[in-house]
Amino acid sequence: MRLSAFVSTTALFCIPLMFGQQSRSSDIHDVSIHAQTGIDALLSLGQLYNRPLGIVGSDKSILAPTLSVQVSQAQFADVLARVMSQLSKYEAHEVQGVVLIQPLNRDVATERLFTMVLPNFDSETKATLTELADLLWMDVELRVDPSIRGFAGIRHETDFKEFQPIHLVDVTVEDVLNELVRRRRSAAWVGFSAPEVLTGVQRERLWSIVSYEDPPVPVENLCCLNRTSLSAAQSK
Amino acid sequence: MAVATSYDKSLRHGAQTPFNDQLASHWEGGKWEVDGTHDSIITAGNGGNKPIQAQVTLFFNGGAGKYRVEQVLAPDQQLWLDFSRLIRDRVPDKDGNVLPGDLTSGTYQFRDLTDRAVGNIFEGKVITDKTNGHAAYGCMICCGYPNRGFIWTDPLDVLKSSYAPQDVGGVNSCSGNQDSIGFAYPNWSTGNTAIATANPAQQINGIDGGSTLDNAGDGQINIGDGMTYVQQCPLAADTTGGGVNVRIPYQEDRIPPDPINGANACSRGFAGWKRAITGIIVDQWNTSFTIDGVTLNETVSVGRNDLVLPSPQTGTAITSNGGKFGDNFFFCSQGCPGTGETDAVQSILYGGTPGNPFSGIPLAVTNGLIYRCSQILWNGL
Repeated sequence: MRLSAFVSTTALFCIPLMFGQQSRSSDIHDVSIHAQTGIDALLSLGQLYNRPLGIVGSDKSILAPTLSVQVSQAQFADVLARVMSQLSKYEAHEVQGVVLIQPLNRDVATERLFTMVLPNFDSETKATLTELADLLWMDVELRVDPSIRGFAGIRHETDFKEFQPIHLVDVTVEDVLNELVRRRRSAAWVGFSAPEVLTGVQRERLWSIVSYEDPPVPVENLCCLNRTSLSAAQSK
Repeated sequence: MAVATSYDKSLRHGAQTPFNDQLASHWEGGKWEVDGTHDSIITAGNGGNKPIQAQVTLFFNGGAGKYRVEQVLAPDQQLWLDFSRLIRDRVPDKDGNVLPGDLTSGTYQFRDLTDRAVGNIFEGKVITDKTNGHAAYGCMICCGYPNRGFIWTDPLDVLKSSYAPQDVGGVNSCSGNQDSIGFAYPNWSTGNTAIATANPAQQINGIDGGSTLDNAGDGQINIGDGMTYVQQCPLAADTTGGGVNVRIPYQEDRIPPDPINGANACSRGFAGWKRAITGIIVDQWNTSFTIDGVTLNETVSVGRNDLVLPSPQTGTAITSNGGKFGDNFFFCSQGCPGTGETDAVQSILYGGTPGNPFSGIPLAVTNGLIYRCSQILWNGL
């Protein structure tokens, strides 16, 4: 079961502390974003404020490089509200510490993928964040095609921090992704518009994990957003 | 040098105008004066056969103040500046600056911004001196490249099937700066066109791996030494050259230690392994490519396949931290635990386009992979 607190864009402007628990002086930053895509702007904020994010980028408006924000000494919620006001086809809400940004209307395939219920999600060994994202992909693939006998791939993550074994029961794909970035905290997951047929699709086509850097780095240097999948998914 | 002389009707106020017949890109002028009894008028003209962007800079307050005028001059067109009017009328320059109202003297400089190496500017100056009824004038000095040109990047490294810009530099005799003057050399060539070509001018194209020379020929440059007067401002022929190395992305070198090597998280009923390699691409001379942001399109093609792994597997790595990149190979198989193995070949395309798995220059050497239930071997290690 998900606990979520939906906050509309208008409400965000009115209740700036809705996201996050207590504001600290370290949570206040100057933000200067000029002509960036919504994805990049959100990841920049997530990294700057060290907030776990989930982004379902299935509406192409989030790829238009038109988003600008200039604000001094602002809290995360204030800046997020300004960003969301420029993403009219998206909404933001918080799910137990993870700020989830998704289109107001998700297409059927994308909705089906991210609300797919898995009876369990088990990692019996210590695993990295991307490794767990791959495990989720394998679980999804097996759910749609139980005849698969082997998986393999090449990851290119740079974040080798390993998590202790995880055991989740009766969770959606979105729940798992949220849990992963919630545990890592310094990370976001970015989901793409799902294909109609999931069998044989590589994980990078479905979602990517982006690890933040400390101190923050330019968003293009963050590992490992698959921008090609993002573009391809939205041109279908 | 030509000198034009004229006096007013009273023959009390006169002017002499030294117009030099030399063309240059850079003139350093002497003192100018404006006060109750002096005025200075300077002119710069285009003596070439194409339009130029002429720049006049007035220096004052010991060089701390600058007043800059730029104007496009058609062939034979002249730019005239009357210093007393600029001061009196507070005429703003290109940057919006005005000359101080109490300014009485300074120095000046001409530049041809279009053709820095040769230049097409001729200059002249009039100083009217009402006190003595005759004019005084100062000559300008010619700024050039007396030490000739040098090839800018020597040796120049070029990637096969790519290109790199090349230039000729010249040390400006007045400023001491290294100016870019490659455009004054019309004929560019290489020593071996099977390795590299020079086309168009100032561009070196990597054709195949190897070393050769590049050559900038038939240059015509101003070799004014910045000290002697305008009569000493000759043009000179010049040719220069350097080395070219055309590099081939040859193979991947592994940089130990491996960041990760252990059991991989797998779905129920599956088991497998993961191993991360830090790699860097080297050329045919075993020199690393240290450029960041390069896309590497990778493909793993499976041969013997006891573990029933998918083939091909593709991925895209981006170089960072001095050309390094990470490959984290992983697999999960229902055949594990067990004794079976899957053999594969990893091929890499260097400098490709993200999203196009077939773009880039293929490395000459591929990597061998062996997947076992508790081990992944990379090139036998």
